[in-house]
Amino acid sequence: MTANSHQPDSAPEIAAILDQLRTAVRAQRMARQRIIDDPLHRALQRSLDDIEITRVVSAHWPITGRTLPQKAIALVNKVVRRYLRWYINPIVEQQNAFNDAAARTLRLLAEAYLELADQVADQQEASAPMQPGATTDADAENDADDPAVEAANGMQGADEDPPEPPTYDELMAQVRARAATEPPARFIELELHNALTQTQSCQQVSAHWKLTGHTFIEKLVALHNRIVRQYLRWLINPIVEQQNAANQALTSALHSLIRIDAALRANVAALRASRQRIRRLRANRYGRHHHHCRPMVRS
Amino acid sequence: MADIITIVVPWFGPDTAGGAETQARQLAAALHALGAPVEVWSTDGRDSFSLPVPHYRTGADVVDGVSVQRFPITPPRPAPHEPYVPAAVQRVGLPADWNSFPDHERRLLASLVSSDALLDAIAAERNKRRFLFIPYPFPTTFWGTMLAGDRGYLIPCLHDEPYARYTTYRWMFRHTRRVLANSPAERALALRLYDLPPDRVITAGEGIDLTPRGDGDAFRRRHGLRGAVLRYAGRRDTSKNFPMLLMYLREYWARRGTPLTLVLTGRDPVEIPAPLRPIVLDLGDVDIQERHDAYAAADVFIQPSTYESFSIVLMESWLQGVPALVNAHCDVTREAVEASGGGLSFDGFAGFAAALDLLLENRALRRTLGARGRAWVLENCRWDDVARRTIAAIFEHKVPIRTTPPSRTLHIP
Repeated sequence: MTANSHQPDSAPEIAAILDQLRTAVRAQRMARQRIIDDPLHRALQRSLDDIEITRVVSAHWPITGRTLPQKAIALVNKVVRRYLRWYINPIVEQQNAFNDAAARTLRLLAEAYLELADQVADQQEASAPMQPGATTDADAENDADDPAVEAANGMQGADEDPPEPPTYDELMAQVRARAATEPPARFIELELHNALTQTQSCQQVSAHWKLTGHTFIEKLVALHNRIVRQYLRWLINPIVEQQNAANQALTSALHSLIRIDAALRANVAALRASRQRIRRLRANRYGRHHHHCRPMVRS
Repeated sequence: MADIITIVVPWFGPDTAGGAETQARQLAAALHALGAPVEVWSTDGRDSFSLPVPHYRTGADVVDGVSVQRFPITPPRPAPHEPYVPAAVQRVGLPADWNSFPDHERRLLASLVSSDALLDAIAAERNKRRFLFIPYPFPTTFWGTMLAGDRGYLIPCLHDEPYARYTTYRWMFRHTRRVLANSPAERALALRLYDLPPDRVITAGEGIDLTPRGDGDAFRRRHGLRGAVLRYAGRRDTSKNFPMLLMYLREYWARRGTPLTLVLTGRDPVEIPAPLRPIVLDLGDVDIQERHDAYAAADVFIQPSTYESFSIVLMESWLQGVPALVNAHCDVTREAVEASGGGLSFDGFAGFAAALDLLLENRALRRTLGARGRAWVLENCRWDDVARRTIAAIFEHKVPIRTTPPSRTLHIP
């Protein structure tokens, strides 16, 4: 576990720790800047900007004409567009909902990529040889009670029950106090997962929603619209079907990218865990020889 | 002759998986053990994890000594799930509110498994039976409660989820004679969501089989486990916050470097990224003894889900004396942990990591919390008590107090 209750033996040790921290922060900033300055990242950012600009499809672009015949045609076109808006607009709105969800997922993926690159940079930085740091009481306590250590030392069941076990509220107060010292963590994959679910739910655009009405007039209009839609399906349906195929392919690609991202994160986590483990083992070994001078536990 | 208590559940069989289905099976056995007239009506499908096709033989059967009647399954309507009204309902007439329900809510009903023949039988036998519908979202329950009228009772297994706010289900809750909640938090949710009179929602509770004894040491040896053993059981999907658990655990492992293993059981497939396989042991669908051995081997049981009305797996882990770490956003499990003192709750990663640290570094604490959880389960999850409260709720008797000592607890298969 981590704790902020360091009790260094002397001022030079504090200076060494602070120096280490400053170096780490500087390296992290530089690594992030390097990523942001990277031409590939800049190209990605430009593509995301383009997506933002183009993702909204409009069925209401201006229809104008200069000459009288052009104006007459424009007027007819406006009337036809207005006449068919009950049919076209819902299709366009569905596609826009998909585009919006897919664009959001892509933006999140780009953020995830940056964040993952940060983690990799952290690990590269952390691969530098470690300096001995301060000991914490919490580290000592944690190591002593680590189940693996317990198991290795044959301590299973060796400890005794405390005389008055703490209540739930007392324990939760301890949890909150410890949680306050835990460095923050962002789980961008949870956001990605939600975004992908939203994208999947929008990927199928339909041109066949129910046309109905309550009053006699509404029912008459609905019947008329059903006949018009039936007639126009030769025109609209192939467009919708092609768009749906593209939507499905895009969603599938997003899904694959998210799975790759999860696998990469797991790789980095495994690397971090093994480094942490080595630190702990070194700390234990060092601690056995030098009781109060073990490497600092990093989080 | 007394009315037959007829439990109506979409799936029912010896190899049917799922929380509500397990509850239906164990409740039926407990009612039968008390001598109450009870039958189960179901489709011939297997469970929600399987395709909606016949699996069991249609007709009469006996499971755990209880008479079962299985009807042909009516599969979901194909997408886009045009709203569908079963013939039995058409015969008696649609509810006046039907056309006012939003289209997507009616489509949801059409997208779920049902049985037209079962609904026909409810309409035909309405006056001879008291129907106990479980769980709330399915057409067998929605249409069944409508057909059963004032002979319809509901064990909803209600979660605080978007569907629970649908007007169709609000209508159903308000037209059901009584609602039987699995926990006080579920009752509070039903009262809050549907504005029901307090006496219409009874906390009948839920039980578990209190007899299994897991062998944790044997399990650890069998699977070569070292270090901390964490346990999750149940559906491995987003609805149960399983991906969140995996992410939290991955980060915890990366930060601490502590050797640990998350032991999973469950029927649904789960994709574990290769680098996480050293810390995740997925046993899939295991037999009952292996499941309880896995509980007993655990240092901490983790329940990240917020969609619970009771959480059988939490109670099963407590039965094996294992402390629990539950999601603070789930009223049901958090209240159970608060009431029992059998664990801790987390609200975000920092709380998760802190609680896990606290538990993993102190074996005596784990033992104490696990013992508290076990004592609470033995006191509160007895099927004979639940069955008595259920009978009292259905026949509107005074709810009886417990009369049998814990040692005489029923064995429920």
